[in-house]
Amino acid sequence: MSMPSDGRRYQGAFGNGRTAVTTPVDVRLTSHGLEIRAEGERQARLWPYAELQSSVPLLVDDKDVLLSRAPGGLETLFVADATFPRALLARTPALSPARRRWQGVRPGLALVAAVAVIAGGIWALDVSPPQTVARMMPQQVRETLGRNVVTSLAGQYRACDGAAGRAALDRLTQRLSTAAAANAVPVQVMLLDWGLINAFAAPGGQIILTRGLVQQAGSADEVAAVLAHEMGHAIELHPETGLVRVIGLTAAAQLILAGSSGTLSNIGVILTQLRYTRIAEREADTHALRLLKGAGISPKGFGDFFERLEGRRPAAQQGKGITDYEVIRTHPLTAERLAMIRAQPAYPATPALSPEDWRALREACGAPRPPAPAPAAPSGDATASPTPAPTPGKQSPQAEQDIAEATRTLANNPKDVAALQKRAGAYARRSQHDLALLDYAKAIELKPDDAALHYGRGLALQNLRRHEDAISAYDEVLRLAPAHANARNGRGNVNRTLRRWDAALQDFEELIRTRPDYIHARYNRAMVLREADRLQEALGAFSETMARDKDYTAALTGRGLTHEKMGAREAAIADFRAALAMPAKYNNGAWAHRVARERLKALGAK
Amino acid sequence: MPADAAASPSPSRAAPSITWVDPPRGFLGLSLLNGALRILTLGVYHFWGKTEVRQRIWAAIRLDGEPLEYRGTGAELLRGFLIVFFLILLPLGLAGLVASLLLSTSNTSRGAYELAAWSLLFLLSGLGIHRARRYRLSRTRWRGIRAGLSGGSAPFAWTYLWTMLLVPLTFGWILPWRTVRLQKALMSETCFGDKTFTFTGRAGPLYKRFWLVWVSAIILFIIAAALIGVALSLDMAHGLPTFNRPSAGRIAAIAGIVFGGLLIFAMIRAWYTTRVLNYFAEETRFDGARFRLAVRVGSFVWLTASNYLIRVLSLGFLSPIAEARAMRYIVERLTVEGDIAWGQVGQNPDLLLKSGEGLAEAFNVDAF
Repeated sequence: MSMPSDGRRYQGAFGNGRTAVTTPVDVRLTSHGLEIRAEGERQARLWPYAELQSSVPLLVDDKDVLLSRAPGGLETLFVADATFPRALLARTPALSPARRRWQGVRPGLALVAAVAVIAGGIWALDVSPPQTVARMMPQQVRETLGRNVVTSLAGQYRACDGAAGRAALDRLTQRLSTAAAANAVPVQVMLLDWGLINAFAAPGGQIILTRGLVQQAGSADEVAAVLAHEMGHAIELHPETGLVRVIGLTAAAQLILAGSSGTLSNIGVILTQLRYTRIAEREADTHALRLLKGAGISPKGFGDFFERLEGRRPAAQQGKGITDYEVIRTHPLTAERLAMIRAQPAYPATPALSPEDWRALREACGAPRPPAPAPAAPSGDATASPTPAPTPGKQSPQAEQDIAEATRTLANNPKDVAALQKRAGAYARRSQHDLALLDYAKAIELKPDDAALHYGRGLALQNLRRHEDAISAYDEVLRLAPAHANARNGRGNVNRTLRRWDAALQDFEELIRTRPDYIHARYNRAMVLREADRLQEALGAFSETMARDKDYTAALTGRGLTHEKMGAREAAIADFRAALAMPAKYNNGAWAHRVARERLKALGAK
Repeated sequence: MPADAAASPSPSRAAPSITWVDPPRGFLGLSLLNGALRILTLGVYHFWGKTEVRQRIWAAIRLDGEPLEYRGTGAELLRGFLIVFFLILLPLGLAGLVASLLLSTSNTSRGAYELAAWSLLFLLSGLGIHRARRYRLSRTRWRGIRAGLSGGSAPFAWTYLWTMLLVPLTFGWILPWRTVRLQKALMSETCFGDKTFTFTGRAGPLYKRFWLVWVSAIILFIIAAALIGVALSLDMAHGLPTFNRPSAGRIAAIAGIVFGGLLIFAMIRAWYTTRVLNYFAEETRFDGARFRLAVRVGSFVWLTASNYLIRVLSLGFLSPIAEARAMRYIVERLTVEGDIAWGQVGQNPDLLLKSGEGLAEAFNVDAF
């Protein structure tokens, strides 16, 4: 460091480090170091450049400098001259910030390297430290931990302890646990009176299901699938592992971002956790499918449940709106997960619960509080059911009230057939056909010879697409009351759905003969003929229907469809236009309008 | 500053001047650089960044035109943090975990554990405040003379704990007395060189303002509760009470009432706090000098609020700016009356404190 002395004298203040007083001095930058000379002193001090210290890293645009002499020198020199720092820095670059900052960066880079090596090792050896810790925990510790988690998450919710529901849930749990066989872990399933649609697994095999989940599920199979999924988490010790991981990550984040704002470290912990969540969900799904298969429960409910959450509606639940549900999707649904479930090969399966158990489970928290949304009447084309007009409205306060009243009556007298029938009818109006079915079944047990009850049961079964059962129910109605037109019409429609054309035609023709005024029989017969490709006869049948009732909208649409199938474009267009020109009559009128509009568009007609 | 001002012979007896001289490049660039290096080094650089910020803040404070010096290092802070983390925080965290595993939530042993845990936490906070102040003072120099804190940390921590436990028992009435007591403990042990500060403050003058804070807290609470009640009853006037889902407007109204109440309370509190600061300065003496601080409510509230926003909105990255603003605010309002015989202030023979300020780091206590 030999730079010629610049010859300039700077004025400074020198402190001797013994008392808090400074004296004025002359300072020169020489080739060896700083030369400091006090007024009247003959001997100048020389501070070598290599020994200079500044408590603040020196910048070229600093206006003054405070120096002392290493190591630990107490003497100070303050030079308040804006040209001095630049001149000094040229001779002692070590006073610049770079060196001091590097001292802090160096251990940091060592840490980064160490973390990279450890992370690489964990990845290469495929070990999970949190899972190892979780496996080492004694079961008792897991359970205490789980209880605390459950208390903090859902402590305010009451457990649903309806004895029958409890027993049903236990049976289902037992069935799935048996299927887990070798991997079985002790589980404890709780049903909480909580409207949220959710389920979660806490440490120690404690699984929470909510009332919302059970009551909004479309079937017991769906609940079984969710339960199997949560048991999959329990088998893999996911809750314990997650807890250990969060504690570990938080500690690490605290260590790394020492004393800084918590926000940053929290974001990091959450992001890391998310990655593991996705992996864990896949593992739990795999277990769930295995458990369901072992227990002989169809995996279809699993897919249905996810589709329900996603807002897509499985065919069997069409019309059941779910967009209003409050859903916390802790489990992000991916097409991949659904595909895995749907790809399961079919195997022999029985329902997860008997109808009675399923009902008991749904009522374990008291009378069900079903969702507001809306039943749709059986779609017009499929049934043309002439049952007393079930107004396909959004909400039916009347049904609501009927259910409440009937439930009250039944609380006093569970054997009140009229109340059961009333409630079943109300359920049917809200498209809750499974609940309607249960009430009808109970009523029939009490009063086996009531044709109206059998008819209601048949209609419910038909809506649930349990076709063979529906036919048996209608058979029973017609045995008890051979002139029951609606039952015969219903049976014809089921046979039509099953493409048993002859059986269907037989019912409709019998109906036309005995009840010439029953207009729907003529329409349905025409529809059968069209579907059976007996197109000429179908045309005749539609015209005959309209000869009896010129406002039967669906008959016009039906004839239009027949014309279209025969290649008579102009005639088809005329029929569809005519259908749209009239009001939608009967409960298949809306269908008639919709189809007519669609076909006109397809045919390129305005 | 003209060069000759500093170079002129320092008079042996004169009222010293305290001024603030902004560093040439401010604090923004330094804050951003520190943040970037901290991320790059997984947080390790935090301690070096913090040290450089302090060096610049100290250097900006000029006594008779000459800067204070901060002589601490990043390595010292890191060492202190590691000691506290492994010897105190980690064992405490594990103990908490074990307790949550073994003790159920509703249990008398749980209550005893909670009380013990909180007491320990307060004790450690007191310890941390004292040790952090001792560390910083011991690393502070002016004209080569070191400052320091002479007493032990344990007595201070004990005072801190028992007065804290009395706060709920006295419905807060002990607060001014406690503030004075703690300030006295700290100030009367603070020394510069071989001379010690004296603090002659009493709690009495503070109560003149404190009672109004106390009463206004209660009155504001009652008014806010009444207003919220009105907001809710408006809801009921339209039919059934709908506590489950009050309208968005109603929620906004309630939030507004709560926020307004807190704001008014913050102003009243600031009125008290500024009095505390000014009074404490007035009652502090060093040698022949006494201090005058002229902090006013409006500027104090603005400083506090703006600093809070700076910290929060920058996720903590710009907190050096907030620290510098707070220090500058005080320095620019502080004056010294009377003389100090600098020639008679000698070096303190006490040894340098070895460890850093780990406890304060760990408990996020900023005692300065």
